[in-house]
Amino acid sequence: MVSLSIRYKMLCGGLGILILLVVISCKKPTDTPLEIPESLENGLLTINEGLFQQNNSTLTWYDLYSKKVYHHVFEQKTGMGLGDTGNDIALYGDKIYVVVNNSHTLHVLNKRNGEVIARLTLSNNNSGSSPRHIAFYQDHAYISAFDGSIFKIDTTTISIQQIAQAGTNPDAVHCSGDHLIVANSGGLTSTGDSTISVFQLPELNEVARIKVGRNPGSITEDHNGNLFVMTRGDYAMIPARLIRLNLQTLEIEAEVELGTGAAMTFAAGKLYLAQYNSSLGTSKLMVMHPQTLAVEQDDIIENLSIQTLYGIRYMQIAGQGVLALNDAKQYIHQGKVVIIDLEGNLLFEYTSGLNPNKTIYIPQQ
Amino acid sequence: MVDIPKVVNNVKQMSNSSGYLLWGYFIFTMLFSSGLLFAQPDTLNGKVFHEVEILHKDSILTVPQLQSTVSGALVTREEIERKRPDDLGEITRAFPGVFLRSYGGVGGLKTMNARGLGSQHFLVLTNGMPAMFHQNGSTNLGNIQADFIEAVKFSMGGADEWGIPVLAKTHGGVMQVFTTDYMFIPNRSKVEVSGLYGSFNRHKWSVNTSFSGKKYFVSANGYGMFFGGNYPFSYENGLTTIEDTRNNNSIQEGQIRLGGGIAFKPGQLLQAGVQYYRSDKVLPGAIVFYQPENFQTLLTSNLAGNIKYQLIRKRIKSQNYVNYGLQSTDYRNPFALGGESRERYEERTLDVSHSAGLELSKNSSVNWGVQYIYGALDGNTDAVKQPRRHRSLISAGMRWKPGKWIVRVDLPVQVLTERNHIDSNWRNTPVFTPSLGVNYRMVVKKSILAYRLSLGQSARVANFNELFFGQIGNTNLRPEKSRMFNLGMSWQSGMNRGFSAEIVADGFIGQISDKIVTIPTQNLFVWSVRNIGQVISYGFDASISVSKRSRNDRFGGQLIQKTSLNVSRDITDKNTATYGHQIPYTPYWNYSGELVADWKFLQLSYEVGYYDFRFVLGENIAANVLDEYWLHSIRLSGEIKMKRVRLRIYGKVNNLFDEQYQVMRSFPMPGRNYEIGLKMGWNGKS
Repeated sequence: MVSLSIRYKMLCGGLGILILLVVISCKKPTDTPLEIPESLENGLLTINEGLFQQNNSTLTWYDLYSKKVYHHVFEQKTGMGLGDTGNDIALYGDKIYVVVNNSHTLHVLNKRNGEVIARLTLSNNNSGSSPRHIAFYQDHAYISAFDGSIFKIDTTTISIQQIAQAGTNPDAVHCSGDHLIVANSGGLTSTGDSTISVFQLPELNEVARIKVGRNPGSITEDHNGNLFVMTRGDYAMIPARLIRLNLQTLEIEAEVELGTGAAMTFAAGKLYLAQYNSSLGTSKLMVMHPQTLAVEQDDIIENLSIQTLYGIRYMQIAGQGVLALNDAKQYIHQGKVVIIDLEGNLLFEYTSGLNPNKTIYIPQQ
Repeated sequence: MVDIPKVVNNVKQMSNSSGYLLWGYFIFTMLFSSGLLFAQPDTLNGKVFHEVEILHKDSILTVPQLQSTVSGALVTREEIERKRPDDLGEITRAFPGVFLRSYGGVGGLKTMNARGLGSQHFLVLTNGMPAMFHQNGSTNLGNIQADFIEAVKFSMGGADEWGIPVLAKTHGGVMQVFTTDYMFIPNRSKVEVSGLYGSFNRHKWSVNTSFSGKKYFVSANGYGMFFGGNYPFSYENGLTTIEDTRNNNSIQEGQIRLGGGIAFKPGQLLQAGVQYYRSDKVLPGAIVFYQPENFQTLLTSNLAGNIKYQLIRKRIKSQNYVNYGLQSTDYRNPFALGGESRERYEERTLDVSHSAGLELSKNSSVNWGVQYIYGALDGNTDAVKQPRRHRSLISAGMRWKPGKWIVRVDLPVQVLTERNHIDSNWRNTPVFTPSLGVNYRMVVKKSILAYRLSLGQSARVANFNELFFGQIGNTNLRPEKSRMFNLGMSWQSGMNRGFSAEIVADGFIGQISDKIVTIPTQNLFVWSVRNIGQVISYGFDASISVSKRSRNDRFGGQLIQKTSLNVSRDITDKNTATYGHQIPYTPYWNYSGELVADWKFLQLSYEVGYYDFRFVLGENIAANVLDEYWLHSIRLSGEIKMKRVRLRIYGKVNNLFDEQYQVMRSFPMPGRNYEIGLKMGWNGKS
């Protein structure tokens, strides 16, 4: 009986210590008080999509002077959440425009302090429109929405002036001269769309619809007035392609197969194409010649640890042209923003929120 | 496993959380109590002891808890009457270690998980027959109303009865639901009528009748429910608390069940049942900031019929059934992007099962089973692809009972053959899920003590959506596998001067591999299903129950305490940010306590439940935390008996302190709510 009792005590003691260790390792992480940037000047502002129906879109601010990262900037500045699935952000004039897809909302912020000037619900026939991207021409913003709508917003009064219809599930928008180019992705349908719409501005009349290929997405323009459209295929059998159009004739001049495609930008006379291969879980940044569409460099970020290249943006910081790359990692972790020069050399990087989508530069006043 | 450096670091930062003291106290109590039992001598002498009351006492379907080789728990009609749960989902709260995922109040989708296993690892058996849905693989526990449930038996690590269908032996957990309409008690008849009225404009009525003679019975029951559903709630939008009302939550549903049976020879029972269920509900969806609430509707109808034959002889027992189910769903979204969308699905299931057992000697028996299940899904969209599945299962097992020991071995094998109308090649998937269980019982003075050990593998196969649906589906999916080891004990006192007690505790450790997860692959609008992930899961479940009745049986009281710890860590890839992190929607701790007091015809019960914080995503950071919550409820009921007529009136207050909480992020739950009900029954001899 005595030995049983000793064994029992040892057993209980061991179990007790084990359980105590487990209990302590189950500690709830708590929010550390977040710092709030006094102003949004001379820094990078990133919109993080979050995840669908999680209400966890956020803005991350990187102060280029202090090198400090500020998370949840919108929440800290306004006391409210940004919303669900933030898709686009842009600086125009003295305002910052934030497009939030599943909240059907446009937030307009003061560029200097980040405080909310206005919030606009984007709906059509009493139903949310799921806005995606924003572009500007003169005193108006043009916003594409997945329900087919193109909203024309007065940037002074922040009010909807007009709603036009494009193709199926409009996605990227691009202003070129007095034309608005809209990529009709068809991304929410099983058959997809294959066209881009061309609208005359400021009337917002559709003047042409051009077939470019399945699931058109990213749009950019070179310094010679050529328009480039990336069609993303069906992510399976139909590959992604790069299309070059003549903006004067609206005819396809050249095209090339890419395999996979995510986004692109034009910088210093070259096209930079972000590609993500979901099968391999790898990303690369290809450099192409805009005239010949020849690949000049297959991957300039192979030495960088970027998992899911989710967004790319060219900007000039202190006179230097740089690329801001957004890494969504596995879509369920905090992402990161990687700043490189045009040769692919790492300048700096920092942690962002969940699924960073786009980064913009806000200069000193 | 426990991350020692992290633990040491956490020790330094350990807060003075009163919650930990509570758990510490509970654990200490458990260890101390079990220690007293360990010290008792083994005096097994074949006495008959008071065990948990089991339904179908003579049935081959159930094994008393103290003889079980797997962990589990039983909820009887008495407990259901006391707690008045809405549905099977609410009943699962009584099982330690089970976390109920609820997407709303009444009528909202409810599924369960436990020990790191998702809802598709759990099988619901209604009267021994699976409630199975091939399209999404899991059962909405909110669709099974509690009114006609006589008992629910939950077994973790598979069920260890030989009489259940083979499919149940392949799952990580089994919930056996026994309904009143399928019970045969000779020469008994009853008619029960009940109704309730509750908060948020909820009305419900039900009728339950059965008539039985010496060799036959017939039963009929049904219910109808209307739920207005608009309830107030508050939630945090950023740093601001928003008060709002959850609209578009209404439900109308009803069910009719008919059953009957003939005991045409001694030990032989032929039963048949048919049921029809229909619900029409509005789906409010998630609360999305700045967005008007959704208005989507779901019309569901379910027609099922079955014939069951049961043979019980001295040395051989056999159970056989044919079960057919037809489920139709009609999903309508009038505000879909690009215009109104309407999706209709029709799912058909045919299930044929034979299981039998043969006693070889007084201490040994063998059992076997074969089962065939056919599943078909059709829909009005091309994305469905009209999949078909043939599922063939076979199992052999043995039970050996040398003295105080019970040793069980089950060796089920299944082969799934699947295809859709696009791909003409059949996809074959063999799955082997063996399990071993040991039980050792001894009698200690006037109490009984049992130890159990089980080691088993289970698998959840990919459902039709995961395999075939649109671009999401992946026909290369492998079954998600789980290996679980369980070591547990049960102790039950004999009745001593009106006092009785029971302690049940189980520790477990397991690994889940080839987890089937749906992840974005190209962007956040293009998802696909993959076999990614490994999880290690460990923890314990424990419960203590004590009850005392006065000598004249006019007063009584019962105290029930249950708690569980579940640590389920992602161990997929050391290079990811989630390595070693707790997996989403898996609370570390659950606790529930209930105090019941009865005096003459009145009964008062007070229940409290604690549900620990969860992470909504795999990364264990503050931004992904969903807060812990406490729920209190109080119930008062009275029962008057006049000869053969019984009248029961009850009232209850749920969420007494108006806790504003979410089980799933963006799905706020109802605050304080009330319910009153009345039940009148007549029992007689036929």
